[in-house]
Amino acid sequence: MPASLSVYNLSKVYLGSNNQDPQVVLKGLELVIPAGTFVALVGLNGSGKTTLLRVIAGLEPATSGEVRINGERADLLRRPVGMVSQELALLPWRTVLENVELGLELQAVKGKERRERAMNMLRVFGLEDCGHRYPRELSGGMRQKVAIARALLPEPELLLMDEPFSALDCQVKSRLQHFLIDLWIQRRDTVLFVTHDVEEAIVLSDTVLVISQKPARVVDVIPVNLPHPRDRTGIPMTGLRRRVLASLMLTRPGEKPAGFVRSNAAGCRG
Amino acid sequence: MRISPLQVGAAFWELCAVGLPPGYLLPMHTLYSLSKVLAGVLLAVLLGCPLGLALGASRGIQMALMPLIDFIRPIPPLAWILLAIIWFGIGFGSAVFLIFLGAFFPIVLGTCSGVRGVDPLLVDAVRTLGGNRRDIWLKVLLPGAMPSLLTGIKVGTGIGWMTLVAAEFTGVRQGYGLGYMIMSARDLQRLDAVVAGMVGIGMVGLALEWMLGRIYRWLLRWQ
Repeated sequence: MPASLSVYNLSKVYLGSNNQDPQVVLKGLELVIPAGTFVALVGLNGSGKTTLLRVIAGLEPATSGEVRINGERADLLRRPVGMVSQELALLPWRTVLENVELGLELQAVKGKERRERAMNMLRVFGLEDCGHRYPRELSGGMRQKVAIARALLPEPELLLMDEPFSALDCQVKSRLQHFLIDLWIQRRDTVLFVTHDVEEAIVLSDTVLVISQKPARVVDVIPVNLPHPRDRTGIPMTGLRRRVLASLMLTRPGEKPAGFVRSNAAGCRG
Repeated sequence: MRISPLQVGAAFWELCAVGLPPGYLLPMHTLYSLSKVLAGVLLAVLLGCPLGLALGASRGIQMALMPLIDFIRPIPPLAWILLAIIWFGIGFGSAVFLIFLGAFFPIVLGTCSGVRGVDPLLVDAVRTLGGNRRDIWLKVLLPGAMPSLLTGIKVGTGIGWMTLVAAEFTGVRQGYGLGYMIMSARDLQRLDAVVAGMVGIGMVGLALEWMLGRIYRWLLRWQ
């Protein structure tokens, strides 16, 4: 069941070794994601987005503050979450089917049921013919699809995505964005989607959160009240893009607005 | 003194038919040697893999043990002969020990670098899906270290086989062993039989390599 996510006053400090200063990556970060919503988190590179996801996923402890899933402390009772990362995180020695099964296997679900559910999931993803293949035999887009299938099969309460499409070329990227949103419309997972691609954030999400440079905190919350599928070049999209870019720009002091907008607008237009 | 391939061929035939010393045939020499090498390598795998896994996983263990390993590693197996005989007696035990010494370190280092080469992203993936420490070892670190571990075993087997002649310096009880046979031939000044014995060792080494290669290609078919 999709759950809500709330993050209270979250801080993460990496203590430097010996002569280095401690690095404050997150400071007093707060955010709330209602169950069943798709939220995009936009920030510049190096703003601590990945750290935030890792803390939410329980991969790293928070220095202070709380992560709550459905109101319960996530750090006290670790729950499996779905996570899809930017780089290839499939186990290369496992076939596609074995990779997708992994979550159920770790929950000790019996072989036959596991296989059946994994096959059904592959069918949803249009990958039913690739079950016996190894990850190296797949294209980048297919691999990310497998990674999403693997994350979703155990029906996680929360799906965390860390720039999952940023390594893909434009066409594949926009195809996967459409696929993801169609899937989400059917399933209504709670999704936290981290990206530095403003257009991607607006095309996919119900709400765009803009976070500042380190130490990261949420500086703007922008609702996207547009029906799916969204026209990437329509006027409402352009307005939203301008607003997100403006917020982002404020997070980077000393930068000329015009130059910043131009360098970003040169990105992909699927 | 010169020697032609023809003479080596004839000696090879003689070793198979008559034997050296007479009655001790080449296939039996090979079999006995092979059993020592397999025992030594097996021992090296059984002790070296766990040690390599521990070294790869923990910086503390690595800092504590690596100096000792680097200290023992360069000592040639040949230098251990007397100690080996004192510890394990003449024959099988000390030969296995010397082969073990040759095979052990490549296996330890191969396993260690294999574990360290595993992408931490894969560990994270298993952790987020609810995997515990045991799952991380069995489903990520061990299979991830496998290519490098298998290379270690392959190199170790090669070095173990190379150590054979030295290992049979420690003496053989039953009178069988390729290294022992070569030394007997040397004492008889039978250069042709020495070279034939060398050819025999080379051929068995090649066969071992080929077999391991087949097994590895199957085990690592995902690569």
